[in-house]
Amino acid sequence: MQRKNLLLIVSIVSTIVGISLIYFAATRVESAQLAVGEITSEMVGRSVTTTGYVSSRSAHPDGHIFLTLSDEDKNRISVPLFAGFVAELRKNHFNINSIQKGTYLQISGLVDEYKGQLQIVPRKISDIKFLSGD
Amino acid sequence: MATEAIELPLDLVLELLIFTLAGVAVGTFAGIIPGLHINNLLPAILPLAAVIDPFNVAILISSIAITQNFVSYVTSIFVGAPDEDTALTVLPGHRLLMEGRGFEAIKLTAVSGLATLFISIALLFLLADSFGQIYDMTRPFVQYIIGGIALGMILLERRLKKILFAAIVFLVAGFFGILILNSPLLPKGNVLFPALSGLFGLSTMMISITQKAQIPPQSFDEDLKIGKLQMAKSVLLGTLAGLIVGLLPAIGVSQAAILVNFNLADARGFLATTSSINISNEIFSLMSLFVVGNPRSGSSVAIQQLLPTLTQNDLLIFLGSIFISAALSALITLWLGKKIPHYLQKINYTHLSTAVILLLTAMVLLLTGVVGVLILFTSVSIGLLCNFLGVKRSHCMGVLLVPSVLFFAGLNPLIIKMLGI
Repeated sequence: MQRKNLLLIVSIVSTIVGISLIYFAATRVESAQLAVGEITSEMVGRSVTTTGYVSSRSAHPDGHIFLTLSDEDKNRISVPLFAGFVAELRKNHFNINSIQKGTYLQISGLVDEYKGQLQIVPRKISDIKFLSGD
Repeated sequence: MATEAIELPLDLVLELLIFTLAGVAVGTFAGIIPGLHINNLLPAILPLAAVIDPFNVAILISSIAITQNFVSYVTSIFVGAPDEDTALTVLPGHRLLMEGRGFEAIKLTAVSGLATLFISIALLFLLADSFGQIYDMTRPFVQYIIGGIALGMILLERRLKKILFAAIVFLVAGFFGILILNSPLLPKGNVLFPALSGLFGLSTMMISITQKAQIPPQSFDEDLKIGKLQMAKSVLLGTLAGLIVGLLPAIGVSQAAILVNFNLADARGFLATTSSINISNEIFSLMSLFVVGNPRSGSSVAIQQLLPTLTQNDLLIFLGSIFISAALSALITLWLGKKIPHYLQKINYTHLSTAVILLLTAMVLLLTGVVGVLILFTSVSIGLLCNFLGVKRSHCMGVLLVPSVLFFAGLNPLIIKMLGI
């Protein structure tokens, strides 16, 4: 009985230590600063930051907004803003309507691949920043 | 629908057969090696299209995908090293192995997989036009369905103290899942290998070591100790659930298995259901490319890249290749199911478990680095916690179910913001 209690305590402590270390590591992962054309499928799952202008924008009936971010060299990447994230942006008075074709943005997020197309998925309000067009 | 008979020259048939057989060989290898998935192999396979006919490369990929689905149960049941799709089969599979029915566990997965192959292809053609409607109808309720099932799993513990412990394990595993699935620590495709191996495989083996467990003499009779009606129910439910997995990509095979059969005490029914979901999901993923023009898995995305336009004849050739791959891989799975227990019985199980623990840890380190080892350490701790609290290991599925509920409820951004990850 005593041995079982000891093992239970060890497993509780190691669970808490493990989760704490993972949380600590997760909050300290830094985004790689890359140009749109430098983002490749090998980077899926990594956190990146890139800049460019919105070359297309479409809204889905379910509330998602799909952007395409392009750079001056005509490289492009998709930026999906899912409905939950859009709602969060609006709740925090982020003017989502000011993102239109031609708007310059800095986007951070996780690189993902959907139907063979690369995309950056922003997750926090601070992942979208407006830039001047210069 | 009138179809013209396809006339294939003999050399073309032989060529297709060779690539199907090559796919079976690679798929068997990928199925046996813990942590190896077809998605890890695709970057090496796709460039072959520069020197080989892309159609043959596509046949190779679909054959690997099908074969791996069958063979991966050998690793999951005998070695306790699952992937996302076979995580929950470790528990009933291990139980049957310890009852001397390891071969029956393997046979159940192979037989139900083959039955599912026929049913899912028929269903796919019957329901092809309704997929959009089914998706629209079910989408708003998914988080409630998953949440309700999770609650049911916890309440099945019956006693108040156990219910409380189960809820704690479920929520701890869920928090762990939120952290690893939403942070950029590891790509999503890699993160589940250490997490699920720890929660379900390594922790089970560590308990076996402390209990000095030995694999009992195994029975190799051909009997399946499951009623015909129960088997038919498990296969049909599994096939339908596999279609749901295909329709709702955020639901994985393990979540769907709990949705349709959350009584893990019925080991045989659960194994049959999970195998059916896996095969049905794979068939749906591959065939939806032809039927609705929409790829739904890594392998089908790769096939679409290789073959942007597909004809009805292409579909028939693919179906032929899939049937051959499925039949051969079911035979290979049964063969391995008879061979491996002979060796397992001769080996000291404590030594074997220790060796497997070391091997899996080395594989995790190799494939996912130090972060993967940290995830493995944490997931083993949660798996052991579950055991020492005396509640069912299936509550560890909170690792996938909690992030799924949050995703479908649109709460992911809020949680990520709160956690600052």
